[in-house]
Amino acid sequence: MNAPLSRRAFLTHSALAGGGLLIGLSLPSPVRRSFAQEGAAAAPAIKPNAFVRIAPDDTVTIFLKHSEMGQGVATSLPMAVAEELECDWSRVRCEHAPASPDYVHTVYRMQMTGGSTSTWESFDQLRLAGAAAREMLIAAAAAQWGVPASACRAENGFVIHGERRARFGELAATAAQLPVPTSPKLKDPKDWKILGKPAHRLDSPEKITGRAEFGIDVKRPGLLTALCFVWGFAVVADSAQFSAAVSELTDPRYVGTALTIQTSLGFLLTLFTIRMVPPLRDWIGWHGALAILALGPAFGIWSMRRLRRLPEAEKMAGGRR
Amino acid sequence: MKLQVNGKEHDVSVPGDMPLLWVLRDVLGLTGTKFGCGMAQCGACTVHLDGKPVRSCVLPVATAEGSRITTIEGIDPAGGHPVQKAWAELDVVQCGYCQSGQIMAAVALLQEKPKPSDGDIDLALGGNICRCGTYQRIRAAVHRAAELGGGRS
Repeated sequence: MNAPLSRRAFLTHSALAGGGLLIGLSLPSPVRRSFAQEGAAAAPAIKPNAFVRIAPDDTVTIFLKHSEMGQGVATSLPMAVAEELECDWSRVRCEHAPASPDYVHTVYRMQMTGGSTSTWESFDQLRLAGAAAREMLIAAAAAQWGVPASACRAENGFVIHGERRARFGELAATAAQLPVPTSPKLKDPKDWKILGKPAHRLDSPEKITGRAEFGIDVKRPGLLTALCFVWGFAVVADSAQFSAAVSELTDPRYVGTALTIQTSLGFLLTLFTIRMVPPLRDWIGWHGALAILALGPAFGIWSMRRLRRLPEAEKMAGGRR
Repeated sequence: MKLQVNGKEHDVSVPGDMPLLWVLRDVLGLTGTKFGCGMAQCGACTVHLDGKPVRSCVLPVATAEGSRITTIEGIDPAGGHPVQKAWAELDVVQCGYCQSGQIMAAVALLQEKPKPSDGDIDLALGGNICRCGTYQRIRAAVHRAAELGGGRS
């Protein structure tokens, strides 16, 4: 081996050598085209506020547009923002972003995570957001000091001009009022201090103490009650067959009354049956208890058959019964 | 029913056959302990009963009455336990769902064997499944926790 082998070339060669099947994932061409156009269109939509929040105590919170599922985006994507922001990496926190159009996938046009796309779809967007925020902080400091912005630089959470230094946390509120730069200058990759270097995961502290909130841990008080309300209003809570029969065969003047009586009787019945089940189960077991409950539906079927034989039943279902 | 969880006494009104996991999560709000398989096959629900690791998803709460119950929240909320420190140092977690159980199993192992061998670790943590496949780092982190004095607490 003399020339270094790229990963892609290695995969292709090893697949050929092994005679195996290599399936490469390539994006369908319309998607690729839209991504190519996106590069040009992405610039005006820089929204540093959607991705970065700087607190007065210098804590930098970076909002994660993708789901952290163990793949490490809760660390790697903040690294992209922090690199351009020139903040103190030890003060960076990461939070999942809420649902918002600000966080749509730059290619798939919806807020989603998948297909190994997180880093490349958002890398430039996040670096631009970080760079825009940095330029706004510098502009705020320059205005405060009455010096040109070009004479100031940002470093490790400070804006610096000669001997003067201002913390990001002091400048954040003023900087937030300034216009967002339309084409912030990105760093030369050779000057990167965070990207391309190892970093510890930002999500360890919450995951080793049990504080991390997973889907199963989400509690929404009142959600069950709300669901019951919707269910109660939207779902027919009694026998559709009986109700249809009652509404079709009753004297039109008494349809409402008849339906009310039917529903009330139905619920009255469940009062007994629901109470009855636990003692019955304890007494004769589940099979016996369910067999006794089956008497109700059996009686219902027998009643319906009897009803069908009556001449009045001809009117049911508009005569098409 | 009186339960002693993480050094605090709780009075709960639950059926005796309710799995301890659901008492911890739904009644006491300690959601750090996770539900995985519900049949003691994956280890995500591991907690300590008098210092010994148990699968809370199949343990009737009545069995835990009178014992000291420890959950991940009771290890060190600040993450300062040697096992937690080793976990952070070696970036063990990925998605993190199984890690409460992994950490509880590791803490229990180190209490019993302050200097475990690879074999001891595999034996003690073999029942804790990790879908991300963090096993190599878990094993390394248990050794690191042993160096940090994880067995002494």
